[in-house]
Amino acid sequence: MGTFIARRLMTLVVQVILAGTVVFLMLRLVPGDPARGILGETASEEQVAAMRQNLGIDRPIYEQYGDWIASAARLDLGTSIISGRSVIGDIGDRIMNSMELIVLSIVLSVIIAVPLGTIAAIRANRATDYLLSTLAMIGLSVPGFVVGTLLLLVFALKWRILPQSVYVSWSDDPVSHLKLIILPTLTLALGNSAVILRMMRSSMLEVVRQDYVRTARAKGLSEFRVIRGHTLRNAINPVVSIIGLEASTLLGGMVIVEQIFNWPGLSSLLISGVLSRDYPVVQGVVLIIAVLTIVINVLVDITYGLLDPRIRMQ
Amino acid sequence: MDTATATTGANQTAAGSRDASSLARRETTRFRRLLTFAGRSPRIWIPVTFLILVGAVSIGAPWIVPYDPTQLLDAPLLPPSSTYWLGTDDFGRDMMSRLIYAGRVSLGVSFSAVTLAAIAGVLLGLSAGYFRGAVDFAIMRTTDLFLSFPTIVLAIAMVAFLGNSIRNLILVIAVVYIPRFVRVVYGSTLTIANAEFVEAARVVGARDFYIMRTAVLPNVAAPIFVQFSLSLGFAILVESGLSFLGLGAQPPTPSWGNMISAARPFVDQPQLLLAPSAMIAFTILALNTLGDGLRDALDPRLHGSR
Repeated sequence: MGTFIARRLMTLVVQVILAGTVVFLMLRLVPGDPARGILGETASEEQVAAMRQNLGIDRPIYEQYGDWIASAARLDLGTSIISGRSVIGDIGDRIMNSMELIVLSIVLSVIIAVPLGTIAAIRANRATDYLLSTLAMIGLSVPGFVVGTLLLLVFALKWRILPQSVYVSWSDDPVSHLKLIILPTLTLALGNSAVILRMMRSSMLEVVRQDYVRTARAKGLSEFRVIRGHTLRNAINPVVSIIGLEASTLLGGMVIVEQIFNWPGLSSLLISGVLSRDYPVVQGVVLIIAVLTIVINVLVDITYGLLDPRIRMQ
Repeated sequence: MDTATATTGANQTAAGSRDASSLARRETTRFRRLLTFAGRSPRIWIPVTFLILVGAVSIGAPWIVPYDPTQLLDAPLLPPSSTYWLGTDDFGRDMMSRLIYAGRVSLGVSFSAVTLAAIAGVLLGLSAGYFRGAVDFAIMRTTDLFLSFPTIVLAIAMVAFLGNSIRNLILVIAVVYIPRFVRVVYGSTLTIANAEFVEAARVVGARDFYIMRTAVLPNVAAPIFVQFSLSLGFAILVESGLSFLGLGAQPPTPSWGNMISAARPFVDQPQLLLAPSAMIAFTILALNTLGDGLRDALDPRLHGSR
């Protein structure tokens, strides 16, 4: 198990460095001179030169690259062009809010999807299954920002059951905070649970066809014991791996959902950075989101290895 | 079935390259049969009918719309009426006309982007799976790298750096979807490229490009269609998501995404929000259902099981 984890951590480091490289290269996408792009046509040559120095693009590209990787490794992601604040500091202020949303929605989607997926598989090709599979298909197809906007409209604006978007932190008022986090979590979880439900259903269907399940039934176990004791553990493995694959969708969805509900996470930083052409901020946030995706994937892989000894051996 | 054709191929190595093209023809007829099969499945013809309808209305938008979608016609926020079927928006523009034109933008951008992504992805995936070695390594590692970024975040970042315009939007969505096609084509190519009939074509001296086109491509076509349908759904999602965030199609150009975003403050006129939401939801639902249906129809293992 030790070597398995060590190997996964090694690939994590490589992936993070590569992600850093892509983020570095993104600045090269800017057509023309990025410094001129930020400052606009009216800026003087001196100002542009100063901005080029600020962005570090006045030096040869290999030097810039070495610098970028070295400072990123020390968690230094530069300073914002607009506010002059440290990018990593701004990210640090918000990252826990984003993580809270992500973790809660993963938990909620597992709670929703695993039992429902199991039921759909047990009732395969009957009315319950068709209903659940159709719901999952709808959940998969309706984008998060549509679900979120509609939920906000119904619960916060029409019925006024849940408050609308004035952020209260957990330490100030736990109850208001919980009320506030319900809608964004639900929005993210609905789409995610649709994917998990479909995976759970097909994985369960694979497993119940196995011989040992027939043996378990033949020796007279109740259907509940067969499902819980014999099939669920084997069926859950592919579901764990789909949670990893979905991490990237979830973090993408998070950006939009945070924006809808005014959640003070990474998204507001990213979007305001994009709109004001604050390139260091955009690069910093994109890198952190990529790193989060990679880390979640590795954690899921390790969990997968813990659950299934066969994976560790490969 | 593969073994049978491979044996035929081995017996006629002299006519190897001609054999590859006759095999391709046979694959095409097999594909037609599958399409006939698909035509009987409601999970395929219902979404196809819907998509053709939406597509036709979008293409014919200039001749269909009752009013100019960007012209300020009447009082703002009028309720639906016989003059304005979906009422007017906050600028007094006809919602129905905007909805139709928005479909033109959203579908146009997504379709162009996914077509570009499919072409690039198929070429890259075929090359990686067929040539192996350094080509494989370079293409597949780059693909993995792109896949470690959330699609929408990658798209947002690229829009930030490239600047936003309809052309860049198409380019960005194309780039973020190339890896999916590469993956799908690569996987299928790996299994086909080692088949005996491909070997036979190579032995008689057929050129690589010819073999890829006539022997490999027809055999990997099915998953490409499935992927096209699914990716188109996701591309609409990304396009409307970006426009919703204000990073895609810019007002006054309507797009389903920016219409939803614009309608948010007007709680008392829910049709402003519901109409574009429903269009996005049903279009993506149709594409996903079609993708699923196609996958089942094209997967011989599932035949007869349903």
